[in-house]
Amino acid sequence: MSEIDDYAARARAWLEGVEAVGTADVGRAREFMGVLHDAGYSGISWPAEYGGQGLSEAEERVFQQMARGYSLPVSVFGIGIGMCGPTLVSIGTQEQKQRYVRPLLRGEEIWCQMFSEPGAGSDVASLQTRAVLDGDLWVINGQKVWTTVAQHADRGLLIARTDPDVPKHQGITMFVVDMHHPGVTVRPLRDMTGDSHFNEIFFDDVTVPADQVVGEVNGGWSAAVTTLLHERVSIGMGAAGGDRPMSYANLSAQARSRGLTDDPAVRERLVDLYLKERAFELLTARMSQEVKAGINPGARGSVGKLLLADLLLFGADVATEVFGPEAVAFEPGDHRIAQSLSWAPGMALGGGTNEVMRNIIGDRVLGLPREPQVDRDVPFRTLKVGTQAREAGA
Amino acid sequence: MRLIRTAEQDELGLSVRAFLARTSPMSRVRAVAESAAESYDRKVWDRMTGELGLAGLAVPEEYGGAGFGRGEVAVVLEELGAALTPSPYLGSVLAAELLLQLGDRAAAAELLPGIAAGTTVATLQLP
Repeated sequence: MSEIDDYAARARAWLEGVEAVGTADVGRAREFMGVLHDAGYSGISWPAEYGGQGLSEAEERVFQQMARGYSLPVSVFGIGIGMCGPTLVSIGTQEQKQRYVRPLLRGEEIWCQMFSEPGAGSDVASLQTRAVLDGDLWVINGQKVWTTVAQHADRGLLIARTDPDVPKHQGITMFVVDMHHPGVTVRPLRDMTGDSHFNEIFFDDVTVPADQVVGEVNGGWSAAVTTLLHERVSIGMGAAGGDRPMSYANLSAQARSRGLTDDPAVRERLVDLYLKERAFELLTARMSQEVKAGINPGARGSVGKLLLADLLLFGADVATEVFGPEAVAFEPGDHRIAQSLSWAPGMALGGGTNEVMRNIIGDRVLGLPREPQVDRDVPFRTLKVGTQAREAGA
Repeated sequence: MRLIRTAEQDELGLSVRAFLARTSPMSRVRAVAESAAESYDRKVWDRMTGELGLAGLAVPEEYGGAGFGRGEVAVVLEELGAALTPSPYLGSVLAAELLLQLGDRAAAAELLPGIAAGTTVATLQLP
């Protein structure tokens, strides 16, 4: 048995012994992260000097893949572990790494990522939240939106405008923000599944010490790109497992039990779903193998994300055909399928829209000519974006 | 299942890519796509299957193939896709695979050599 097989066997034995409790209780999730860290499974491939285990991507992938079958109560840490932590490890200062990484890995601090604004989504570089230096404190005013887990977060990674007189990409800085600062107001947003996964956040004179800048002042765009690349690889390599309500396994079983599989049109749709699922599985398996072999998938994480969105939307269509009227929910507690269906369109929007994914694939994977960017070299202040569009009388 | 190319498969891919760039550039791809007369470039096919032996990659040597496997066929399919080359390659390799799976040695002996050489253009039709 090779070393990695040995590692996998020990990890599986540990996972078997864990009491899986759902994800609703944030307090339980925090405790569990401490347990996970004590067992050596939090931050597996992260540097040991900051609280990680210092192992390789191979062990990380092996554990993550196995853990999917066990419903570990860690989803509230997804943003911190998937994006904020890796960003700090890549470009944070020594002090920031020493201060933040271990508490994140132990569940002591929950993180959120504050990029999008009402006027800046796909074009997040048009953001207007403003940070002004006053002595050695940055003062932040503005608004963010679509921020997952902000209602539970202790810390957040924020990007804000620090120089409106240079082109939009050049005047942005990334900060670590204390979400418990009195000037931070978090308001949950209720989405069409009936839950509140995201929030809007208001900043009223929120002060941030100068040593909480991540990367360079006015170098926040490249810091943000680092974060977004981590996000795409982690979403793109996410599970599309058979236990989902809209998986091929579940929908074909449902269709069979409703006597629908005698219809060749239904069988054809189910086969198409099977093919898309299989193609997605193979793509993510290939990217995993590449990561283990030291090849960085980079912008190809976008292919995974695009395929996943396509798969989920297609599954939602097939589910509607199979479930018929039960796919429509009028009351709380109506069929679970209706809730899953409501989630599906979000996959084509959050974490980078399908259109943005295609731009990235065309531009950075296929090497096609770039889209012209007319606002690339003009001062941000002159752009008709966000609230500046109204002020300019546009 | 190994999903990343071996060094040899990488070389195969590069040589197929170079071949297609020379013999089937985008201008040719468009001409074929817009032509009523041809659905694929017969000369490119003859060279792919003759000189390069691509149709026989996964056919056993006893039937005139090179005795490699699906990994090599996948490399060729990726390169054909990247170059957008119209070609009966997919149908051909699926037919060859099916013949091998069926275990009918007489049919395999009769049909596979031509498929491997590209002189027989085969495809699958489901009943």
